[in-house]
Amino acid sequence: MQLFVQNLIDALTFGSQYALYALGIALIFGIMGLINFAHGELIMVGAYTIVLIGHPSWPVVILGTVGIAVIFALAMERVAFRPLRGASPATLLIASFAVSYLLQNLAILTEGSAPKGTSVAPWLSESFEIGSISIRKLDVVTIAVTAVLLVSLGAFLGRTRLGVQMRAAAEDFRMARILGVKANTVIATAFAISGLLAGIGAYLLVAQTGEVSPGMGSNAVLFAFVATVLGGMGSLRGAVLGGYVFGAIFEGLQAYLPTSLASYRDAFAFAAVIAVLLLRPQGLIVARSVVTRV
Amino acid sequence: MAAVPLRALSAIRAIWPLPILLLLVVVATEVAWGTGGSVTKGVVVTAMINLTLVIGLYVFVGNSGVFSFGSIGFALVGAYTAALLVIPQDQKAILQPTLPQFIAHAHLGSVGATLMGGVVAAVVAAVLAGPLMRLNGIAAGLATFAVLVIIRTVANSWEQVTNGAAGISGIPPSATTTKNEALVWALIAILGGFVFQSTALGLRLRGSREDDVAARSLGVNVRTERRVAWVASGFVMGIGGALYGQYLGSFNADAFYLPLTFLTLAMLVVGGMTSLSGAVIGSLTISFVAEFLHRIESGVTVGSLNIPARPGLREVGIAIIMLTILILRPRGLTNGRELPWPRSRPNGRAQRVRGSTTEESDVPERSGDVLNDPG
Repeated sequence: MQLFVQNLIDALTFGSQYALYALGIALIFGIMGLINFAHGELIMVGAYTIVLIGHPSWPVVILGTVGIAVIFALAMERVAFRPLRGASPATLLIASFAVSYLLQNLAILTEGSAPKGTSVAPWLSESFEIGSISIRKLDVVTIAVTAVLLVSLGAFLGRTRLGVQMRAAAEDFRMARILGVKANTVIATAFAISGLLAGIGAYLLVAQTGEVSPGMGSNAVLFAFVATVLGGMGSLRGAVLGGYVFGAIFEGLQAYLPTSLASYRDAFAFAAVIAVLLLRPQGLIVARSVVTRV
Repeated sequence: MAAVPLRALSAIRAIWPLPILLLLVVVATEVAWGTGGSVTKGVVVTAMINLTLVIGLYVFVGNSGVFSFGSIGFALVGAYTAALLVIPQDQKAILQPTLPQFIAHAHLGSVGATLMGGVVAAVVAAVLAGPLMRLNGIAAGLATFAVLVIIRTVANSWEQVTNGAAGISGIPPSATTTKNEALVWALIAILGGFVFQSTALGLRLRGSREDDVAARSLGVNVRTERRVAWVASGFVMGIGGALYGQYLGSFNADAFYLPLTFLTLAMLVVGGMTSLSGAVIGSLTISFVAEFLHRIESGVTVGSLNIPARPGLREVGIAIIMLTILILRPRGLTNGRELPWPRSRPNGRAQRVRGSTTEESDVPERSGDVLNDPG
């Protein structure tokens, strides 16, 4: 029982992280059909900012991290993806692959390829005990921060003018434009939000692992793709749900798979992706924009 | 002109890109081989192996129009297969005592091992073709990407056969891929790719690339065509991987993962993914640029100016070239066509068809498009 609760908390923490990443990806995919491979690099850039700032006060660090991630997200949209707007999703995917590769190697070029250690808010890695279960403060913070972000994003999309426009654009981009929604504003906002999510994700990730490296972002986001597909491409609720479901599956495989098979965990996760794509391509929650047109 | 010479002429026109491409590859290889120092020699071999891999990728991606991010996985399969066959039995007994009997006792020469690498890769591709080829567009892209991760994970975890993350070593120097071997295999790949795309099946597949619905309505069973192309592509990737593995001498699964996937995709996209000429020209161009940047990367002295070593510069350069091509010339350097017949360009007709809507089509412009052109 004790072990189960411990695993459950781990699953929730994992799930929260993947939900954050998956949400950033789903937001962009819903609006412009781009699977942003380079989302991981926003996390990486944010993480390097933490090291470069090296400031002890956490509000400064978070502000800097999020700010840089947002700037990179907007720049990436302006330079690489805006000229390609309307291109086929496969072309966009290739382009985001190139952006990811570019940023990763720019990091190698400027910061070297070796991982760098850093400590973010050491108090986060302390634990406290409830009964016989020890809980890391970081786990609580990760779960809580994700919950707050999800609720605020929901409020933004549901209650504000820009949010409603974004939802409209996600459902039918052309129709929304005809009705006066400004494409550039909506897409830039989506990228800014994905940058914000990536920045916060970066802070939580570095607090957990204590190091940064050029490849850290794509490693983290690789599994967020699984979560996005699982939940239903383009559906925001699906992405969040997919994140938590994936966190649970991942943690479950980790905890209960026999050791001889444990190293195949990633293979199982990605085999699940293929299975979902084949059997339920629309995912757990069907996005309204998913209509096959001839 | 009489009818017979005309027909002969059109036949020559139809196959003429082939000899030109073969010649181009031979000349480029020999010139680079002849002019460079010992460092360049390795680069030439790698470039020819990459060319083989790009042709392998092209056979599926170029003809079907469906992106594959997983094909390098088949190169991995080919590399491991060939390596395990080419290492002498007594060596294997020492280095990998856990190998299953039938692998431990098997031994082949370099050429046989390379061919077996292709065959085993094709078998793996055939097994995966069933489920994968039911998918289209972005779902196919994601699923093939999942295949890459799965193959890599298996290669890293199946200690008994692959020696895990430590990888394979002990490939005898006599098996090391030479320039001539790499060149001959690349030429065979080009020939094979050309023959494949000229067959009825290849043409049907290319038709479905241009218009899936129209092709189906004409009775093309797109799935079957794609499956055949996928397996053929897997075979060529397996050959390329086998050559690369033997060239490296020792390797692990990391040699066949995202960086190589990106490099080969960049080569195909830069050249123009819908034509064999594009695959060849893109591959040669990127190989050349990569080597040029690599020289700068490792530090050069120009006059009194010393540019320090800059790891990562080559990759940054390739990524920028690829993005620029995607944005400015989405159909690649060749515009997605085979090399044009000299003097065959209609005078004054606009050759440039840009924009996202026509991006994946290499259907020649009809006069109607000219009328629709606002310019």
